[in-house]
Amino acid sequence: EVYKWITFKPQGAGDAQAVTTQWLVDEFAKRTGGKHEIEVFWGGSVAKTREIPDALAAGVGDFGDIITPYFPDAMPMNNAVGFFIPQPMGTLEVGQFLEKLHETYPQFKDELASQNLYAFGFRPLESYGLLCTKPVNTVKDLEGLRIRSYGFAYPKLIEALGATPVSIATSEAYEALQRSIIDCTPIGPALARGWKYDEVAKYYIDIPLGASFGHLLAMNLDSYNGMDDETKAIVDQLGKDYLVEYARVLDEDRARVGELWKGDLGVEVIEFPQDELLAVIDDAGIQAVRQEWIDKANAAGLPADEIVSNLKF
Amino acid sequence: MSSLSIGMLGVVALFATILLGVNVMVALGLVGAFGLASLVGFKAATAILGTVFFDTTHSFHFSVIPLFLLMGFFAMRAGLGEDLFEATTKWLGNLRGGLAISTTLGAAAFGAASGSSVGTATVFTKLALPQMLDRGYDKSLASASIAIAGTLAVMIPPSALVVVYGILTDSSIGSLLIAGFIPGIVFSIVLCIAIWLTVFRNPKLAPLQHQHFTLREKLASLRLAGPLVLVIMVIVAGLYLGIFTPTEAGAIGAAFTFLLAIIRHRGLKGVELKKTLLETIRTSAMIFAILICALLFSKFLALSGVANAVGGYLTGLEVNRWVIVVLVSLIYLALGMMMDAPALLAITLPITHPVMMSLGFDPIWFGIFVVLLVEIGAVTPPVGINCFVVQAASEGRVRLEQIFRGLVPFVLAGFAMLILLCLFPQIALFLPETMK
Amino acid sequence: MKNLERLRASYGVVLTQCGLLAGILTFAVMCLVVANALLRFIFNEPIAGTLELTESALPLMIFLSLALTQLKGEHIKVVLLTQHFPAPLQRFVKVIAMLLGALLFAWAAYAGWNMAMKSFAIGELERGSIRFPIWPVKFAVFFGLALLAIQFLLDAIYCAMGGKLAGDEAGEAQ
Ligand code: NA
Ligand code: NA
Repeated sequence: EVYKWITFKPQGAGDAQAVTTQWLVDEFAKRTGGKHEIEVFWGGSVAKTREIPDALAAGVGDFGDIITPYFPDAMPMNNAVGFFIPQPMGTLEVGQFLEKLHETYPQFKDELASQNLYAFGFRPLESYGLLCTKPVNTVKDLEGLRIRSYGFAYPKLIEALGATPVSIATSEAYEALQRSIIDCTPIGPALARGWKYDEVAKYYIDIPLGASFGHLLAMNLDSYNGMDDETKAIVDQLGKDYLVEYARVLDEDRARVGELWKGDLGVEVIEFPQDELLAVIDDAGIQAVRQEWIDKANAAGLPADEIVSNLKF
Repeated sequence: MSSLSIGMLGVVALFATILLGVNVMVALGLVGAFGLASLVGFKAATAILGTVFFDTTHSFHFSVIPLFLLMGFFAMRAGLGEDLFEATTKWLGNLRGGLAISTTLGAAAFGAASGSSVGTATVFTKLALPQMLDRGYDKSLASASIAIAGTLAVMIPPSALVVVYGILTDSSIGSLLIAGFIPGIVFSIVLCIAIWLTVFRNPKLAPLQHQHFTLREKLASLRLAGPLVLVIMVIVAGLYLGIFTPTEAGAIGAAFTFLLAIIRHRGLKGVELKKTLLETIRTSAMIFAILICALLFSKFLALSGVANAVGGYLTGLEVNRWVIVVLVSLIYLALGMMMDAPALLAITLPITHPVMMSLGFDPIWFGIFVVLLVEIGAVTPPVGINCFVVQAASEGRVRLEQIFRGLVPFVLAGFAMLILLCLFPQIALFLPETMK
Repeated sequence: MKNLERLRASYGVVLTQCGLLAGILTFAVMCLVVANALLRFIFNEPIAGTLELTESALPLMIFLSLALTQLKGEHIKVVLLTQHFPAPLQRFVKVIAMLLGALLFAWAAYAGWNMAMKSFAIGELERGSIRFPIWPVKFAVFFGLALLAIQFLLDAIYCAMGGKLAGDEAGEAQ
């Protein structure tokens, strides 16, 4: 059988996400002995980022990747990590954390199953810091800086750090950095290179914001249930192996970008004192964002405190 | 039936329904939706119908389209086009074909304030067509020169269509907008040459008018171009100083031309705000309806495998990459006859952009190249939106066939411009590379 | 026929009101974006939520004016072939075309209703520097699509009974 994979990612992107998606597709054909294969519909040609969950659930495709932070209300439990910025885990740990949550608490699978979806793998983002157009050594230096904000957690964090949150669309961030409309944007090295922001912002502030989650490697639940047990097992194992492969490629990418930064691109990496970041976590705004998730988790019958303990420094 | 043949059938159905007079958006949307239903089922097609309308329009980027249109309408109310036209006729009025040439140059300058090809064609039909016809210009030459001059507004920044390209391909919108500047100017010169050659071959098309202006009058007329120069300076300076982003430029331009319109009419009354706003939202609705329905069709085309097949065919060809450029151009010209520019971009870019990138072409260069291609499509029959607009705004002075007939030299000029872009890609790339 | 014309006219009044609302929104967005840029540049104080509000205003601007544009006959069509048809055939083709429009947008409205209800059920929020419920915008999309479907249906009936639609004159197809 030929399964359809609908993704927002352009094939030509050449980043860890695109490269490992192709790896997964090849591996699936290999492990099923050529009995099954996946055809990928790249670049949002069939469904754009915000359309993917609905399209996947209705059977437009069998596989797809869901950018979880876009759907905090539709899938609040699976957005756990996104409500906790900063948090101490890196890419691989966040992926394994999500795997464990799905194995331990049925609420995580149920939330997706109620939307006719099934997650067989997890793709966290890289660890984020701040890319700035000027050096930032302490929290004092952040005072009054304009930092790009998006989503539901960053605005409060940026305010707590004494900076001004500025909402700028991803594709405009380059010009915004270049023309000092913003001074900083939260991002990781690989992504900064991908968007070429490092051409115009030359200071990477290594402030441990943590690796955000990320993308669900999801299936249409009916398509999954329609597979024989052997194929199901292959898919599930592939999801686990994917995380390892993805983290490996991402690390390579980050190392490569690090070299480029030391060389021609001339981006200076500045260590930010971790205790100064941790000092603001008790800020009321940040805590309110976290409490929103805790309340929802408790309402869903989850031991929120136990889960949240993993997200504390 | 295989997916691929369903896809082919869909293409045929699309052409048939459009030719039978079904609204282009309905044809695209209906064939797209039924096509999807036949590929993946009714439920899945309904899910896509449920998301595509909201998700396409729930976008900060796309907000520039109504705002650029608003700016164009305010510029019209502020009389920017009228003033400019008056200034250029004083300088070029005595040249054979001078009125058509000054229309072209006026539209190019106006294009620096307007992002809409349709809007500019509307403005200059109102301003220039009566004057040209009164002075005995051939109807075909007069109307066609306006229809093609509208496309300059899309080449020269700001430009809603270039923004569409940037969004659809994830390219830098800032670079794209800057990149269009020199090609826009070069293309306006090429168009002037085309006019000059046309009237040189057949002088009867544009009778000479003996009307003398003193140098003093000529110099005084330059003052009239002042407001437009001001609009351009405000936008360029604002972008450069980091006061606003390219997306925000639409709002800034609209607000500024609104102020100019108020100053011109000494108050709000003459601005006809209500009428202007209604015109803006109707044109926006028309553009978005086409854009979204074209997306529906393009999803169907992608899922059927036709898109992948064409893309795979193009990338698989073991030929010189310029042969592929010619093939891609032919595809655009063929589809451009049938389709509207934003729709055409939305449908084809997922196929052609990766192909061109894999052949090593620059995304900014391809953006300008492809925008010129689809803008040529905006004047070619049977779906030549600029020609429709000129015809509608002419209040019965010209017929659609007359406009189409006059377009031959200008479409040839478009081809010449395409060749120039291929021979000298720096025309498009010089400015963005220098700005970096 | 008289009744139908009256119905069409009063429906047109509703559509014009919707269009005006869309126009006012466009103007408001213009003011908001300008104010945000200036305040950000001069006082380092951007207006929180400009991006989110603009983003959510656009669907309202578009879908409140979709049906009005059809009423005015401004959605693009091609009449190059059909204008040479004999009059009865021309009318027949036109009625079919309008019915197809009604079918597509009725289907889209149904789908839009499902999505809006789903959004309402989970209390979906637009989240950024400010937050507000997004489901009303989704209902507005449904509303605009439904208005357009109805306009197409009215046009189909009107045309079948011999009425002349806007944008049909002299082969123009703006
Ligand atoms: Na322009
Ligand atoms: Na055309």
